[in-house]
Order: sequence, then structure tokens, then C-alpha cells
Amino acid sequence: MTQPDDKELLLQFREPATKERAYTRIIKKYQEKLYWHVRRLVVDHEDANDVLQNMFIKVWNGLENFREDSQLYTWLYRIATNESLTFLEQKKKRSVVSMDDSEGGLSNSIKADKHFDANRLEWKLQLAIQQLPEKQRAVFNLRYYDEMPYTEMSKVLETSEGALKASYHHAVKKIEDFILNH
Amino acid sequence: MTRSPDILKELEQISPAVAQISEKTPYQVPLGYFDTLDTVIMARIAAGGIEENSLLQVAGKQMPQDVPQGYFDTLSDYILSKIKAQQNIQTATEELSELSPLLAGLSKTNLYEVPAGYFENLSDGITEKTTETKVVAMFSRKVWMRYAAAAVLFGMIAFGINFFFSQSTISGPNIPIAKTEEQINKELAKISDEEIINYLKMTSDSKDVAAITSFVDQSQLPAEADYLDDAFMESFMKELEQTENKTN
Repeated sequence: MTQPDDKELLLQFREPATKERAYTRIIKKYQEKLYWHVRRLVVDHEDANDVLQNMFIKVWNGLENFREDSQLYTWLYRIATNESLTFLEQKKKRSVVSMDDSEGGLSNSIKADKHFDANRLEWKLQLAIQQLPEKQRAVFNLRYYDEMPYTEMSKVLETSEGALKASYHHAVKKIEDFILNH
Repeated sequence: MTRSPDILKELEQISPAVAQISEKTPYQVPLGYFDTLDTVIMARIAAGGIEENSLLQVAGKQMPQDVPQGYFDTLSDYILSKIKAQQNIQTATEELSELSPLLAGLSKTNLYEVPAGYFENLSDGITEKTTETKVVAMFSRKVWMRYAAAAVLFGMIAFGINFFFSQSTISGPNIPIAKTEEQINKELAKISDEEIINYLKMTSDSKDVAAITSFVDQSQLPAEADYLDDAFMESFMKELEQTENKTN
């Protein structure tokens, strides 16, 4: 099935008769990409599901005012990234209050996964990614997994392309170091 | 999905080791998750973003299971019969048969041996032991009363000594510990009323108050008017004189 054009979907969204149908198609079109982006950041499926649903509800409320000077998918990625980072920040605060191990939290979630295999490089890579600061994690994921061009990424993360390139470079080096030493 | 050559080239330049790792994310997603996600989100939007409402909307009010015909006509009878069945007391054998037919089928005969004639001689042995035990007579009421009176007297003396020693620790370590009754009374007389009041406030309870008032002769107590302060009485009298002069 060919994916509907974003411009066409946005036009349909502005018509009350086709609004809900258009939005369902927007969700269908981007749900998997955004889910994986969020999931790689928050790790746990239930958390990813919460973030994704809340994000799509916010998008519904804000899509009327969406200006087409940026691409829809860039805008969606920006909201998904911000929601994920906010969620992680709140989770960290909650775990500080409840005296949980906030530092090892995401790594522990990865290790608790029933499919976790410490000998497999894909899992080691996930543990290595969790060692990165949150925003650098987002940079690495967007480039490594989503293969996003730096020009788009700079709109998502509101950071200059040069800074993103440097951040990605350092992230890869840190990950390499972690994998070689663990 | 094939990897973009540009991304891979960039990665190889930074770290050939990381470039060799599969880009597949190893996490799992629940089966059918993406098939229903849009329905759940649209239901939440319709419910104003409230999750509980949206889940009910997604589920709908129609129950997916059918109810057998006549189910509700016989439901109350069925519940009552279950309650009655629970109330019937099961014998231990019935209970064991339900819990474990294997155990219920086993013989309950004791396998342990008892010395010959043990039970015949058991009661005799116990009687012998009880008669050998010395019987201790109970105290008579008079003796008990005597001990009680002595205890009360001892308590009163202890109260006085305790009071005296607590005062002696306040006044200093040079006061001799051993005192005759006369000396104790003399020392007690030196203690100010305020000190006694403070001591009683700190240590006494309602029993002490009752004990103290039982020794007090009510007729010897000062009249209520004597409690008034002299200065207060003077000013009161002056005030009275002034008001009388005015009226005259």
C-alpha cells in the first residue's frame, strides 16, 4: 500500500468530515518509526507506549496550528524526542525521591528483558547507548537507526549541524570504548 | 531495511568496530500492538485524553461472551446451593479423600511400639508422683493482712527516705547519709514548701495525693480567707472604705 502524502493528509485533517480518518492515517504512517525512536530512548515497552500515546494526543491538539514550513515527520520526531526526554527527566526525579538506582535504571531494564543476551553485540550496543547522556543518545539513535540527515536532525533537536556531527562522532567513540571493554 | 551507504561509510570512518554491529534493535513489541494503536489513540482523543474513559470506549459496552439461556433464572439457586455445600461440615476422612485420595487409602495404624503394659501402669505412676509432692498450705487471711500492713508501712518509710535522699542530692554531697528519725524530721522541716510542691509535682501521682490527704486533719486546715494575700487584703479593704465613704 502506498503511503499517503503528508500534504494531502494535512488538508484532510483540516476538514471536519475527514479529520479523524486523516489522523488515523497519520498515526498508521508514523507509529512504528516513532515507537522505535521512543522505545530506544525509554527502553521499556509500557513507558514507550505511554509516551507515544500522549505524544499523539498532543499532536492532535496542535496539528491545527502546524505550519508547513517544516516537514510533518520532522515535527513529529521533535515532539516524540521532547516527550521522551521529559519522561526520562521525570522518571529520574521520581527515582531520586524513592531512593531507586536511577543511574543503572535503564541498563537494568535492558538486562531484565527476557530476551537479553549479554553475549550478543546488539544487546551490548543497547547497554553502551545507555551510558551516553540523554540528548547524545537521541543524536546517536536518530543518525544510527533512523539514518536522519543532519539538516533534518538539526530541526528535530534544534541544534546546529556542526554540533550534531561532533556529538555523533563522540557518541560512536564512547560506544566503541564500552563494547571493547565490556 | 538496507543501510544507507552514506551512514555506513561515516560510521566506518569513526569506528569500524561499531560499524560491524547489526543495526537491528533487539527489543520485542507485543503481538498486534501496531494494529490497535491508532484505535486506542483515537478513543483517547474522543474521551478528551482520559485513559480510563478511552479504554472503556475501545472495549465498548457489548460483552464479547454470550450468556447461556436461562442463566440468570437459575443463578441465585446455584449460588445458594454452593453456600449450603460450604456450610456442611466435612469429616476428616471426607476432607482427606478430596485433598489426597492416596493418603486417604493408607492405613492409619501406628507403626511405633509402646513398652508392654505401659498404659495399664501409667495412671499408677502418676498418682505415686503426685502424693510424693509436698502440699504447701495457703496463707490464712490474718497472716496475709499482717504482711499487707507491713508492706504499707515499709512503703511509707521508703517514700520518706526517697524524698529525703532526693533532697540531699540537690543540697550537696557533704550531708551524712545515715540519719536518725529525729534528724530526718529536722531536715524535712528545713525544706521549703515550694521545694515540696515541686517535688510532688515531679514525682507524685493520684495515689500519693490520696495517701497524704488521708493523714491530714481537715479541721486543722486554714480557712479559705487565709489563703488571700495580705497586700491584696489591704487594697481590697481600702477600696471598700472608699466606696463606703462615697455612698455616705
